Amino acid sequence: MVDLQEKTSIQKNRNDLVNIFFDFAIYKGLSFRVNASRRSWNLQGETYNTANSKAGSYTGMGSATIKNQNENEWTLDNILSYDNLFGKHHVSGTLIQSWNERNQHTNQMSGSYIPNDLLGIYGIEAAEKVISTVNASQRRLISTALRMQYDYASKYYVTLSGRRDGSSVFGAENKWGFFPAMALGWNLYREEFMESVEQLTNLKLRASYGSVGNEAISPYGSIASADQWDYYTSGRLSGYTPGSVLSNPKLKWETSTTLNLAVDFGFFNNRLSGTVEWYKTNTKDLLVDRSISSVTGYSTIKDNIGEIQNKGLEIQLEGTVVQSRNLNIQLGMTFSRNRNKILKLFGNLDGDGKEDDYPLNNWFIGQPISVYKKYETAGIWQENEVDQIAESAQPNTKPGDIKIVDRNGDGKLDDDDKILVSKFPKWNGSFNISATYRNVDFSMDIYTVQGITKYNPFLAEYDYGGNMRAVFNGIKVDYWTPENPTGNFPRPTTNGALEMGHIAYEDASYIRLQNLTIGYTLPTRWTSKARLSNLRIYFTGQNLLIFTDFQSYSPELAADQYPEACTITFGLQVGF
Amino acid sequence: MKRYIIFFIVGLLVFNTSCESWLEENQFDKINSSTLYESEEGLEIGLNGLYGLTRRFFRFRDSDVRGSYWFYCATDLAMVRTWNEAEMYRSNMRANAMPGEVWSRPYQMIDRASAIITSAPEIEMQEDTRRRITSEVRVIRAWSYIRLLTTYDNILLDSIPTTPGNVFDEREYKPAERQEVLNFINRDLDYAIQHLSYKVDPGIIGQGLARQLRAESAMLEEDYATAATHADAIINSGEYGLVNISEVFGNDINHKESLLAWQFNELSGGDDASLAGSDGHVLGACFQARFYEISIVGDPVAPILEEASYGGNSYGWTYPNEYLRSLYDEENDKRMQYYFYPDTLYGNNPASEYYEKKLPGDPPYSTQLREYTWSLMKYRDLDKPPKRALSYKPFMAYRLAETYILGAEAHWRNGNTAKAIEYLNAVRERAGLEGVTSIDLQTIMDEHARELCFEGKRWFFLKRIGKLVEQVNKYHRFGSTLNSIEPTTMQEHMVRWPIPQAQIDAMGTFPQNPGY
Repeated sequence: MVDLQEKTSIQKNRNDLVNIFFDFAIYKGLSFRVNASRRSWNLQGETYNTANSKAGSYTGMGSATIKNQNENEWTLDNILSYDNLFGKHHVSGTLIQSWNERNQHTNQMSGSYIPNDLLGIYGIEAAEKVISTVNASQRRLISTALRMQYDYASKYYVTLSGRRDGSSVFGAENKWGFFPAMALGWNLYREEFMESVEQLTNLKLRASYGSVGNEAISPYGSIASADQWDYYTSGRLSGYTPGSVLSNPKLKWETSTTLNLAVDFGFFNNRLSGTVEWYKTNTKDLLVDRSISSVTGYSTIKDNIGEIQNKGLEIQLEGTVVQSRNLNIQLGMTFSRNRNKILKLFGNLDGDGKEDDYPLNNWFIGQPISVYKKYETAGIWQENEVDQIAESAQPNTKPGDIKIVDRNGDGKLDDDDKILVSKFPKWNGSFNISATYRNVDFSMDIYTVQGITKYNPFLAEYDYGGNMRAVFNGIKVDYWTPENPTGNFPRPTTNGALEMGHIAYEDASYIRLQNLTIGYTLPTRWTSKARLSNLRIYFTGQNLLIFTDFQSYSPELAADQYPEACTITFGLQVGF
Repeated sequence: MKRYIIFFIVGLLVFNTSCESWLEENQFDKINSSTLYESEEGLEIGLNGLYGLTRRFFRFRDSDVRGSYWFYCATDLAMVRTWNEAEMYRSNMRANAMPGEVWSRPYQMIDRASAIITSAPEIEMQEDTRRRITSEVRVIRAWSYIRLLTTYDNILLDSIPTTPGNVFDEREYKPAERQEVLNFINRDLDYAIQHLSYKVDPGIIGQGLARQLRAESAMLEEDYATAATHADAIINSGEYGLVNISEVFGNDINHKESLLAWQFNELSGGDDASLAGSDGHVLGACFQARFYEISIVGDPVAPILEEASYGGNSYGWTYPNEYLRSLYDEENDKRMQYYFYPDTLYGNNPASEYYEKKLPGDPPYSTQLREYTWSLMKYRDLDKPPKRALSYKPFMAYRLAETYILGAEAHWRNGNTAKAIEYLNAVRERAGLEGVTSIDLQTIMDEHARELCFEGKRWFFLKRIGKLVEQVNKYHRFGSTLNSIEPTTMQEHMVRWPIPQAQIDAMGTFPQNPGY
């Protein structure tokens, strides 16, 4: 609270985007476009802590930080396109060649031991101690892609494409990747045999198979580098030493190959329409931070490993429920479900005929790639269970402590007793309504994620008031005392409850009212008098309500992250 | 016109599809690590980086007060109040809860050292510079292995620097033979002893430290004659001497008793351990009570403010215990006055009625050990801002008093009782006590406790002489109030740490230490 008064923090953001293009029509059907764009983003931050702030209380003097962060991105695209119709045959093709470069540069200066707060941040030159840092990075991408499409009478579609990408972030030998794809489409409803089905206004079958590359890792992972690590004797000594992440000169593209089958349908003059889509994506050479044995002197290496599979179903439905002169109501819903599974990691090195797990990163074959590994808990030890405590795998616990299940019954608690809990949700979906009644329009969007379990540090950790030490304020829980033996949280102690982490998992499913918009368009007979073609006033709310059992600021974000804002906007839309 | 456009377009496309060199990466804010191994300057900065890593391993502060700090608290001289009690021979002393950095950081230091050692012979440079650099690096490597061996007993021996090319090579993960590790350590140290000089800058490794570590490893293999020789060499070198008791832990600890002291500097340090002055440490704060929390009935303000002479802001996590106190001759032993805070406190708050007066009543002034108990003064930093626990005062890693005590034990075990008594008495006389006339293991243990308490040495000393479990079970305490002081149960297998579970998983076939 004291920092609200004593700490000033200003952040200025500037974004700009410039885009120019030239279009050339060469001859019938063939055109060429050159597109160049530059996007730049700049953050300027100034923070000042007075001598009375929390940071200043240790030294009794002010401190300040000035930060400049700059990012810019250049793109140059050359696009050659062709589109022509020969009778019922429609042919089109596109050839794209593009260059992309992203630069990032940050400099920061921290000053402390500032003798007085008279000038605030502008007094930083009087700081006795100044630490300055500069960081920069750059990444580049070259791409060439060719796509050819053919359709016959708008009934049968074939698309073939291939792209070749080169990224600077990979090892010297592996900068390039090739990604082909193919798609087929069949507009079934245009066939003569479907014409008799009158209610059917749209039926299309689609299938595609292709691959796509991923290069979303930080640059320089393939270069062996050394960080600044200085030392001190009677003065400063400059030093460098390799950090704890080992470089990997063989880093290469991560490839995802997807098989996608879909049906688009529409009934009753498209008053009811929707899509059902099934996909299976196999991703190979995943780019991950692989933990390695510390005996090497390093803790992780960025590596391409194994294969995971994502399989899922997506359904989308939309219907116009009411369509009359004054009232129009449309409903829509989506549903999607994904199953993530690790198929392969490093092969079968221990000779048991199956792929090996990699417990160091919590990667287990057949399980999702992101899992929690935790003990199973079974309530709280009661006072009348003292004998059982002595014989259990937790002989040093006392009544009031958490009971942990010794799943393999071997008398001790270790990794074999732990269970895996997926970090992914079971399904997510949304429901939306949009309606208009005379001049009033209304729309509402509800989004939900179900079946997801998340670790909540507010229930277990000291800094979040959760470990039953009562040093910091925390969530009110029903804790065990001898007078309250049914409590499901352990007894408070001066040193913190043991094994708190294992009961701090909660269902983070939620339903959120994502968007609510109500608008009123003034009748045209009024607006036309003011020479306006339309005038609409509206109210929009975003993230208005959320229903969840997860006890934190937001079920989607980490415990100490600033939650998503609830935004309410009033607006006026004018057309001339 | 159209033809020109076509040529222009084709030309643009052809030009654009080549240029592979455009994708080459060059880092701005880091150097290629190969620079470290290609020139003399590279070796020097690599050595300095390695020193920085070593300094980080031995100090502890907010973010990692669990690793090297543990060894200060786990001895027969300590009473643990809070912070790491679960790790003190209790429920957290298991493979997936003990701090993993005690295993991984020394191996990181060993790998960086091996990289410098293997690349040094190829570089064109002055021979004696090469020898000096490789000697300092070998001492760090040997020191890391001594630390690993004495903590875990079963470790992996590796002298090949890791590269992306060899990181996934097949290797056999089984514990090395103890003697093989000791031989490896001795080879490194013997080389260094030949080529280092005694006189070095503060924070730099010299022949004194190399010989001290060599004496330690000799004691580990019960080679008492060698240990005695090296202790003698250090003591007789003329470079070191015991300083006045008031100066040992005074304001400037870079004196002639110090063999190596870790240097910190507030102006060139900060929140990052990689800065020249490092990120400070909390040695002073951990082992003393928070006197400024004492409240006297009837006095509306606290009689003592956070102020440098009482140590300023502190944590009060672990204290010297009654057993340690019982070993001192409280009237004559000057160490009571210079290594510990006095029992009687004086108010320093001008607003208090006890300003510049003794606090009322007799000590203890509170039943809460957090507020008041017999506290360690060795690491008091008079220069730090009083409201901050973090200190940038250098602290000694090794000092001559330890050499004397190790030399006394070595000579005694080697049969030269007279020399042993002479060395022990040197330490005693500096403390204002009379000399002893006879010597046995208990005499050495007690003098070791009185002189070297809370310097991170005791646990390893007791383990080596086989007295760790017995002493800890008799004398180590937990307590947060005067009425809640309780003893400890240390089991036999806890003389060695569990190997971190994550590392057992990574290594596959390496066995876990027994009992875990």
